[in-house]
Amino acid sequence: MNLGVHQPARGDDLRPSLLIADDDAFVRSALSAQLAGDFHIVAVARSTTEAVALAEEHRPTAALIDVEMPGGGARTAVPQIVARSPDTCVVILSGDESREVVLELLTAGAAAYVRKGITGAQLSETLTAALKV
Amino acid sequence: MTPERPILDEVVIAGLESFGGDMLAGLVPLYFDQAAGQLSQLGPAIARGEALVVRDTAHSLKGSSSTLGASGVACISSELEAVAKSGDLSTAAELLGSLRSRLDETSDAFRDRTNSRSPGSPQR
Repeated sequence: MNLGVHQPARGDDLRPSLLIADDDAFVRSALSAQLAGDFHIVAVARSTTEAVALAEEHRPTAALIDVEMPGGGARTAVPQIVARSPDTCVVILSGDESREVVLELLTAGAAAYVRKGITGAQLSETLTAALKV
Repeated sequence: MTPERPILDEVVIAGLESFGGDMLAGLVPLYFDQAAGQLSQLGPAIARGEALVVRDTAHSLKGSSSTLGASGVACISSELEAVAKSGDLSTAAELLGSLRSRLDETSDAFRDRTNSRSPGSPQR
C-alpha cells in the first residue's frame, strides 16, 4: 500500500497542490492517503522549519499545518508562510487547542481550521471550501 | 477522570474505510507500531519527572489516535497531556496503566472488526 508516497505532478493534473505539515508520522501517512485523491500532495513536512521552507519552495495552493510541532508550530509557521507564499491558503490542523489560539491563527492569516478526528471527506471538503473563499 | 468514551469512533473509521479497505488495513499496523514506541517512552519519562516529554508524547498519541478513530486511547492521552501540562505527574503512572489497557482493548476491537468482515465470517 502506498501511504504518503506521492506521484510526480502530471501536466494535466488539475488537483490543487497541497503541503501537509505534522510532526507525527502516522498522522502524515493517514492525511496523505486520505487527501491524495483530491489534492496533489507536493510536500510533507515534519517540523515548523520544514513547513515554512517547503511552502516557500513549492508555493502550494493549500497548506495543512498542525498547531503543535517542533520549532513553534502553526503560531510560527502561519505568518511566515503567509509572508513567503501569499497565494497559499493555510488551513490549521488542531487537536483541542483553545479558542484563543485558533483566533490568533486565523488573525495571523489562516483561512480555516479543522480538528483531528474528522473524516477524510470532511477534511477534503473543508480544504476545498477554504480555497473558494 | 472524564467519562469513558467508546473504544472506537465508528464515524472516523467508516470515513477511512470509504477510501477502500486497504487504507485502514495499512494504517492500523502503522498506528500500533508507533503507539507501542510512544508507550515505551512514557514510562521512563514519567519515572524521571520529565513533564515536557510526557506532554509532547501524549499529545502526539492523542493526535494519531483521533486520526485513526481510536477514541478511547485519544481520551486517556488527552488526560495525560493535561496532567503533564500542569507539571504534577503524581497521577501519570496510573494514567499510563489505563493507556496500556485501552490500547490493548483497541487492538482487540480492530481485530474483531477485521475478522467480522472477513469472507466466510458470519453475517452480522
